[in-house]
Amino acid sequence: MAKKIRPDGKEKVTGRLKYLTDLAFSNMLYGKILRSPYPHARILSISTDKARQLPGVQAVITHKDVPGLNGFGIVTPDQPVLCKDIVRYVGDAVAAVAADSVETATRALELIHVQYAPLPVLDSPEKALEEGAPLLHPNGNVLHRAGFQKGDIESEFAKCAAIVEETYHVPRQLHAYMETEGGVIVPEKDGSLTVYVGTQHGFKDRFQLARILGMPEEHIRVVSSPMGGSFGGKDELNIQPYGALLALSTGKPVKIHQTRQESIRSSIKRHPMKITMKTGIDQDGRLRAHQTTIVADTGAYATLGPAILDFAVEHTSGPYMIPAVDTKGISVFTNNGVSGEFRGFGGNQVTFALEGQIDRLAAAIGMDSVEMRRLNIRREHDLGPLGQQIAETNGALDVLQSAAAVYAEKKPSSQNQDRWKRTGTGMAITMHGGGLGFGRMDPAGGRLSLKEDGKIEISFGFEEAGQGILAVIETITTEQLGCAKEDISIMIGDTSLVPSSGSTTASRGTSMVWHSLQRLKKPFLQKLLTRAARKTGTKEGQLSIGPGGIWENGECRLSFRELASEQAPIVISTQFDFPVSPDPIDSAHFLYTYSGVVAQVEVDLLTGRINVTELHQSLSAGPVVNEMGYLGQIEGGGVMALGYTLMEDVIMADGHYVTENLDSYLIPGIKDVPFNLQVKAVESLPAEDDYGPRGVGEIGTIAVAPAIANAIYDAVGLRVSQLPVKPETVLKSTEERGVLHGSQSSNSGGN
Amino acid sequence: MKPPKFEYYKPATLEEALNLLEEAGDDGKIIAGGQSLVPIMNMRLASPKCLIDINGLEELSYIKNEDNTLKIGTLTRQSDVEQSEMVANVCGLLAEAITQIGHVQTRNRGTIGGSIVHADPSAELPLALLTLNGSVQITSKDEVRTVAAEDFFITYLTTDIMPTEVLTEVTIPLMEEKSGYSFQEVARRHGDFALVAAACHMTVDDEGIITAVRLALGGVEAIPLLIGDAEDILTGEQLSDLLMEQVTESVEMESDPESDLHASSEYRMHLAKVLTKRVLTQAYERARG
Ligand SMILES: Cc1cc2nc3c(=O)[nH]c(=O)nc-3n(C[C@H](O)[C@H](O)[C@H](O)COP(=O)(O)OP(=O)(O)OC[C@H]3O[C@@H](n4cnc5c(N)ncnc54)[C@H](O)[C@@H]3O)c2cc1C
Repeated sequence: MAKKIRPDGKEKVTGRLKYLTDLAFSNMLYGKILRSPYPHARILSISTDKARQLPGVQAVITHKDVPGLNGFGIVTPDQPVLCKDIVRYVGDAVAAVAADSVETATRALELIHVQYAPLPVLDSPEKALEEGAPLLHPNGNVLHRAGFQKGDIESEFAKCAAIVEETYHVPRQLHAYMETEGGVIVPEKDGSLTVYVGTQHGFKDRFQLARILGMPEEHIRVVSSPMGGSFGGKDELNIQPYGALLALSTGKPVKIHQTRQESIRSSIKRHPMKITMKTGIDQDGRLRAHQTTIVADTGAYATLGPAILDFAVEHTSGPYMIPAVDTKGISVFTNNGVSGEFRGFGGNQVTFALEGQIDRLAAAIGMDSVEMRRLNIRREHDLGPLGQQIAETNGALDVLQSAAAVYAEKKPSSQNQDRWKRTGTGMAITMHGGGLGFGRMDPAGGRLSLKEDGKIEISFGFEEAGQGILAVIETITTEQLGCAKEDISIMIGDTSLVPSSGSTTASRGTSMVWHSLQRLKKPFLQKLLTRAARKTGTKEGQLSIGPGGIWENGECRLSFRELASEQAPIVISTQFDFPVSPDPIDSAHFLYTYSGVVAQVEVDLLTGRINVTELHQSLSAGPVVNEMGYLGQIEGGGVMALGYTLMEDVIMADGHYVTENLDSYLIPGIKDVPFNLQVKAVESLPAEDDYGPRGVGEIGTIAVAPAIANAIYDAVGLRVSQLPVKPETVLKSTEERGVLHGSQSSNSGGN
Repeated sequence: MKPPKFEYYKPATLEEALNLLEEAGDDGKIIAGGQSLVPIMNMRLASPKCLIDINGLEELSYIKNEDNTLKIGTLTRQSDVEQSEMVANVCGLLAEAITQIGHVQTRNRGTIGGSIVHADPSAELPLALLTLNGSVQITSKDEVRTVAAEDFFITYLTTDIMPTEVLTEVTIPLMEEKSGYSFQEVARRHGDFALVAAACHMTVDDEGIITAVRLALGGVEAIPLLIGDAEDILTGEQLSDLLMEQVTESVEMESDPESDLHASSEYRMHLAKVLTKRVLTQAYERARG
């Protein structure tokens, strides 16, 4: 397949593309948000008088100025837009200011006087669950419980030859999108509002904003594309309500663009989790019983916490068939930063634990870990992890075979040149659900039109966050219609111009574009050909669509412009739901993607440093739509996961951020990218598969951490149960066991 | 973030620059490559009222070898030194150290003098200068003075230079005898400031006896730290595990690294010892040829 350049590529690499935070309007004001200095406190009083008197300040708002619902949250609006009596984390907003300049707005924040009475800080789920702990919300400190049971866990454990029990800790990860939250909110002359702020779901923002502003949805237009990265972090509202309230109260456009520090303080993060797994295997290497408890620190507010826990529960047994499963999860409110949606959606955490278990179990019974995986892997006709029917593919075995081949080649680790270095190879596999799951409204849709100017416009309610949806739309549309890329124009990210397509999340974009085209193509082409037949006087059957227009006998008879001229546009729309399982099992998924990862590491026994030298990812997600986009997602996802494994941790102490900026929170740089980075797509699907290409936005991030962890064990015998893996931990473990001087064979001992 | 407002001057000659500095006094600040100063201003950790841009002073950009002394003008870009064949031939340690500073982009802008005046405790150039027994030439309206690296660094980000002075040249004496060197560091990520860095320069006679040695560490104290004991322990001896052990004991006694988010004090100390052995071994091997 030819490597296509993405439609927005050139503008991006030349720096010409205007992001929404680059926009400027005349009379524009600058907004700043005052956030709580305390992780938990009662507000005694708020005085804004001094701030209002500062020259250049045009508006100061507090909870009193919220005309509608003073709350937001995709599912439950439990987060105050502007806090009235209680603050529950250091990102909670108390007031906001609009002024002539950023400096004046910043100065004005200092002049707002808020009196607080600090309350006890619940900085861990354990503390929040203690008896007598203060309640953070009316329904208590438990946001959500979820679980899944099948089989008789005790009798299956009784059949086991080995049982491994381990507790895994995974950190709070920052999305670290390049463009921090921001944009401009413009009050229009007719009383309506235009919100130019990057988001993953323009229509949802419009809905939430209408509720806050007490304004009809139709009076709000959300322009949400392009975005400088999101990774799940901009699905929830961020600065929009403040910009909107300030714009309405001043009658002027208001720009807010958070600094990195403000962003880290207020944005959502990946859920830190403590996962305990007890898993048993019999003599023949068959997994028999798998018991899991998940404790998620969801922070101060709900956002998508419940759905993420459900997702984690669904994915605890991964692509393995285990007769008895018992999973219990709890998502707990704390006074830490809010946890929410993040590429992988709870799958990353449980996969790290599960694949750690698998390697430990194989070692415990002295079986080759690849063989053991093969023995337990799900097959084409097996039910999904919650016992639901799913789209049948052989993806799990396909990626296992593909990864196993790489593993076999890489496994016999070469001797290191330096006596103090060790090389190791590790593997992990996973499956990952796409779409929102059963029982959650997951509408999709698209529109195809032949416009008056002769352009075929393809339109979706999706947003371009850098993930490459524009390239996907261009490729699928031109391939399905048979026209050239010059013939089409793409319209996304503007609620006044696009149909609703659902959220740009859950690896659903590519799937939905493909499904839409399947529905739109036939009626649209039919209309074009009927009109062309009339215009040319040729029989419809002899005409076809080709680059530039309507073709007959290998020649272009009629350009799209000629076809469009002097007639009403041809418009075809479709609305449908993301495919779900026919079995009514709450939150269960239907379309899954699969990945098998092999990592190779080099560990320096004197410094404890880990260098990931190779990362091979095999994927099964149906046909590749756009090769460069696919590579970008998987390679980029892999590097993001490498950061999660080795360096990233948003550290909080007593409810305060310790890593406040990118000088202390480190993400991988280009030199940290494994030198040998390979992506292999296993594209085959069963002949009867009706679901086409699956999205790959998340799958590249899921199984990388456990593959690296297993490679570290192979290299130096350290069993990793906590991320990120710090050099100091490696050093301590290897020194204690005398790995350097060979007093013990490297693959023994644990931590 | 953007820096607060400031006045900006771009003198065409050194004399003009010195006059401007004199006028501005404590409010003035030289900007060279801007790779340390601009981030600091953007983060609002410093807000100088008046910036004096010395990038127009082309006469301060040169690399020469005169009378067996390497002379480098302050404005010479780090990447120019990195790419200089002459430097690679006569002063391998400097060449090796420079490749470990930041990234290609920062080295293209960052200057030799800027890094030395900035004096980050784990920066490569101050450490290399100290190890190589170099000095700096400092010019003001009234005088030109020379300060040895050993005396130049005072404490964290502080050196023996006044706001009215310009560092004009860096000089490094070159060795004729058989010598070897090594520069190694450990950073959390490639291109980050080192957690700990170590540098060694050594001369050895035909029998493998060490005739001179300088060992220094970065990141373990507020300034680059010369391990004076190394000279006493190793001079007149062949390198051995036992002697290296003695040197690391001195390292442990003399350094007092801090704990921060990136590494604990203990880990830094451990790295200091590991890197000490690595640079001693490599410098010795190289000196022996
Ligand atoms: C991403 C990044 C990574 C980096 N990594 C490293 C690293 O790993 N190791 C490292 O050592 N450095 C690193 N740096 C810093 C870099 O090397 C700087 O270039 C250097 O520290 C300062 O040099 P400059 O020419 O840019 O000086 P400037 O930033 O212009 O100035 C720095 C200071 O020196 C003063 N000054 C400059 N020239 C003179 C002069 N001639 N006389 C008197 N005062 C003067 C200025 O007033 C200012 O106080 C990094 C920088 C960045 C942005």
